[in-house]
Amino acid sequence: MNTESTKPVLDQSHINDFLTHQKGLLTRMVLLSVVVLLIGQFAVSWFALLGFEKELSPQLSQKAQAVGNAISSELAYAVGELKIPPDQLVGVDEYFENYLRSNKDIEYLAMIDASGKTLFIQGVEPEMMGTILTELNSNGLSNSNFETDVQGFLDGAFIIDETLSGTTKLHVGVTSEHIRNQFFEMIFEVLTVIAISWLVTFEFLVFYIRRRISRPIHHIRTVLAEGSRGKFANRLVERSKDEIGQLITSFNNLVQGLQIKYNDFVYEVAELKHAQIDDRISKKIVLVRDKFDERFILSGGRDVYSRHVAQIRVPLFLFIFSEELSRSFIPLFVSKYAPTEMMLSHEVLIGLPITLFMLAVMIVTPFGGGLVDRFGVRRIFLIGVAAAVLGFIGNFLTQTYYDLILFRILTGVGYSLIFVASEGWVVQNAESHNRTASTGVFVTAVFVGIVCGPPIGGMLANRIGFEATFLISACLAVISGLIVYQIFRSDEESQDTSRKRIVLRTRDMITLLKDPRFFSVLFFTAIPAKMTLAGFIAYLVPLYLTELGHNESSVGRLMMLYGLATLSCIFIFARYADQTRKYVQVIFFGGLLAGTGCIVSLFSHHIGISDTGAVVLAILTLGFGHAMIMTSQNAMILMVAGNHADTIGRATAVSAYRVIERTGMVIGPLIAVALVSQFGYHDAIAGFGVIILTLILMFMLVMTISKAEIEKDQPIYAPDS
Amino acid sequence: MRKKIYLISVLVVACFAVNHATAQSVPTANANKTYKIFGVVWRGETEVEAGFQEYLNQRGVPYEMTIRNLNLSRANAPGIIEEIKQVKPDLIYTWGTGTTQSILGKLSESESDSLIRDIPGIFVLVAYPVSAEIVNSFEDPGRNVTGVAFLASIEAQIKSILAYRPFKKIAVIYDATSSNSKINVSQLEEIVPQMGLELSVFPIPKTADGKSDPESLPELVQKAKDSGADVLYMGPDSFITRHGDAYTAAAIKAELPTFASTQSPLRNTRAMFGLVSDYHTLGKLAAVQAERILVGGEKPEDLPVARLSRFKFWINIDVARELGLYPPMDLISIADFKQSNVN
Repeated sequence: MNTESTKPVLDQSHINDFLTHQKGLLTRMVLLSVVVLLIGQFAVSWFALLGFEKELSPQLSQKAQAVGNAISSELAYAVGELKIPPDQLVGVDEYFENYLRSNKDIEYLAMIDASGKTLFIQGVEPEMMGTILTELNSNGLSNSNFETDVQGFLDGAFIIDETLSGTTKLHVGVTSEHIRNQFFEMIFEVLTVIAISWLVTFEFLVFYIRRRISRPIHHIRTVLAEGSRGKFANRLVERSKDEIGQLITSFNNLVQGLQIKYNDFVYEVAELKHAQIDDRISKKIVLVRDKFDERFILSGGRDVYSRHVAQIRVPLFLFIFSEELSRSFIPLFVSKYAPTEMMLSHEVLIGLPITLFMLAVMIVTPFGGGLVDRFGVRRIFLIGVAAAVLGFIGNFLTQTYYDLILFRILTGVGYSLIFVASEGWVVQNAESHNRTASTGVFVTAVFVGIVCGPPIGGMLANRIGFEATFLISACLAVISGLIVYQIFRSDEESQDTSRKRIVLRTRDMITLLKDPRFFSVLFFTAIPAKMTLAGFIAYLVPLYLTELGHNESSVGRLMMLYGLATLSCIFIFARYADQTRKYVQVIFFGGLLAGTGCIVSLFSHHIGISDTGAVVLAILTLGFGHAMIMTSQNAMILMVAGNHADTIGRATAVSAYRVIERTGMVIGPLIAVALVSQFGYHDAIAGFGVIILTLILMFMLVMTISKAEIEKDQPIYAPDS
Repeated sequence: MRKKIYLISVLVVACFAVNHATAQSVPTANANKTYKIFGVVWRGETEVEAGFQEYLNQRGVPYEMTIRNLNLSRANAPGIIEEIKQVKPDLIYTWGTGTTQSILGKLSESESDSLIRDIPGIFVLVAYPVSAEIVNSFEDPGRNVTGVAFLASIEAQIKSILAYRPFKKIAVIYDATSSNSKINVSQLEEIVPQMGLELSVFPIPKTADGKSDPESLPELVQKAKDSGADVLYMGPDSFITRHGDAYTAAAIKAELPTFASTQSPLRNTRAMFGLVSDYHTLGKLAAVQAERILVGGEKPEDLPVARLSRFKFWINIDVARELGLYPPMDLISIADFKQSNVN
């Protein structure tokens, strides 16, 4: 075989060209679908909301009418049947108060006698009632239809007693504020559902287009580009029978045909050569053949599989989504079952399942890496799904605090297996030229799940209860497992069977920790990020927001902001960091932003921010901050790992990092419990801010000292081994 | 608010209790057998017997019921006992403490020709069946007799009084010769102070022959008024009930409202308000017990004395008007009213 042909068959410009092209197709299809979807959804929602408004107003006045009828008939009974003079009725104020308390949408109740004198009134000042009555009398619109808007109230009048001297009436007042609040709640829910269906559609479309269209086309282009240089050796492997599959089959037929012809040609040439007596002609024949071989490569090809990092996206997203469904209510769910007579405080008991879940994740993950290398992504992912599904079903059937914890731990084991399996997939398939972006693919799937889970879970919990929501989680996890079962064939897994099993040795750990970048990224940015995620987002936010009077839907919606903030800018920062390589700066600003956002809560009252506002601000700044930190952090760790690739192994280094990083998730809830019991929910937010800021400053300090070292580490990525 | 929730839960007709009891027992009727029930009442038939028979009719229990009247005297008991021994009924029904004691006897009384001991018995309108030694306890009757309790608890009664007005001092005038009344008063003496109210008690003076003197009632009412009481309490006291007209008239004259713990003073005299059990419902509850014994084959000794879970807040609005004490609106929506032009 001639070796001259090893010049590159695809240069960078081709790849870039391809990528833009691929992006074009994807973008256009996704945008088109999403726009169509959005228009449809908005139209339907708009009409539904219009209908809702139309429906709700009369419904409200119907309810007010029902209340008015009930009260006025009781008063009429007292006055008419029992012959109690209206002004001598006893306990009317208390009676009115009880009605107002149980009917929040009713603003006032007043009893006015025949002479227009206010006998009893609750809900508004008598002077105000006087104004209302004067206005009602002047326009003569006093009836029980709640159509007259007076002084911001819709008034309905009900007859209690009619005598010759006039009528005694009950006036019932409602405001339209109640309708408006319900209307907004509805709009929020509709918008959330639209946004989430948008994200889910996007996920599935990208998944499908990548898998079925862009990726095979990319491979066809690659081999065609090789073909244009004379190489017709590689076969494309594609199982699908769709148009692309047919195209690939034709292409493979072409390659095969050419190879058969080539073999015939070689045979014929050999025969021809043997038939010659003249040595010159023989040499000439060999020369011609060699020249042909120089121009064309038709043998020694390999099978090219169509697989891609993004394949993991949908199953991973679905699983994360299923786990995140319970995010907005886990602390409340735990609180429901927490035993009352225990040595530990209630706060600790609520925090414990979260901590133990994280601990399970932390303990299982390091083994997971080795397991994935040994048994493959598919098998580990499926085992993870099985464990998680069992956990979800267990929580659906929860009886006591202890089995609740047990099944949470089981879910944690499943979660970590799925996580490492997915991570393994990304590591196996990431392309070195855009590693951060590849990691981004993985992170996106996780964050789309984090965005969609809590609000949908909150809405579900609000309607069907905590336990039943776990059943839905189980169903989603099963679907995620089915997808992996279907599309991840073991024959498609990385052929690299010689991969070393990841063994974390103390010696390696020490080497890694001695690296100041590794150390400071880990302890000053990664651990605090995980700590706030588990302590603040997962523990404090649901509890505090519930205390502030938000229901599960509302808590879920506000928690969604974290994922939304991260997701909205994670790609921008990933690209930015990859292009500029200003990892340290990006991390620093991320930490600064997150820390400051939390600290604001300390003086939120002085600058007119509500309690909920302070939580939302902290959630958002943490979301943005974590987006900055996470992408750059991953890149830096991969970079450090690359430097130790020969001695320790890249995967081992990354795995070591992940293990230690997760201690943050374990201590997070404990720190939150400590902060909350010391300072209360509100000031505990600032506590997190102080921790984040302190650590990020230390990170910057270490980085500044070891700056020179970073700069000499070029290129950033060690070549793939 | 708390008050109201409490009242709603305690008051109003006791149909719930009856329905509940019905749902529990699914008897298997012996179609051919007609059960013989022998009823003995104290002062004529009441709504209780009507409710009792109505329930048995509804359930399709085949029965024949004979009712005899003691006519306010235990002296009439032997004749009736003689008749019972001839008839040999399947069940005996007795109305009131006196009737029950004179027909079925006390727990401790040994086999006696002058009592019925071998036939299952059901009592109604016995205020204190344990103190009256008719049964061993509510849960475990200790003999072949069970029944239905009809009084609301003293706590519920006092709470009802307070729900009407924040009264400060309760006066109770009672027949010191009656054991029922004495039990009632001792319970009041224990519980009323705990609920932040004052209590003054006035035993009715006796005549020369040792009986309570009805003539003294107006004077006692005035004495109660002078002691600073603002509400009178009528317990399950048959003497006071019998002289209810004179008693309540004196109360109205003294501008004192009267609270009754039994239905009769509210129905027949001028008591202003009360927390009472509905006689009709009581009868139904007794019939549930009867059905379990007759059709279900259960033994009275295994059947705890049944209690109503809900009572009726009854107000005589005419008396309230006369006293200028109209009921508060929260009560109007849940109470039953008696007034001259209705009923």
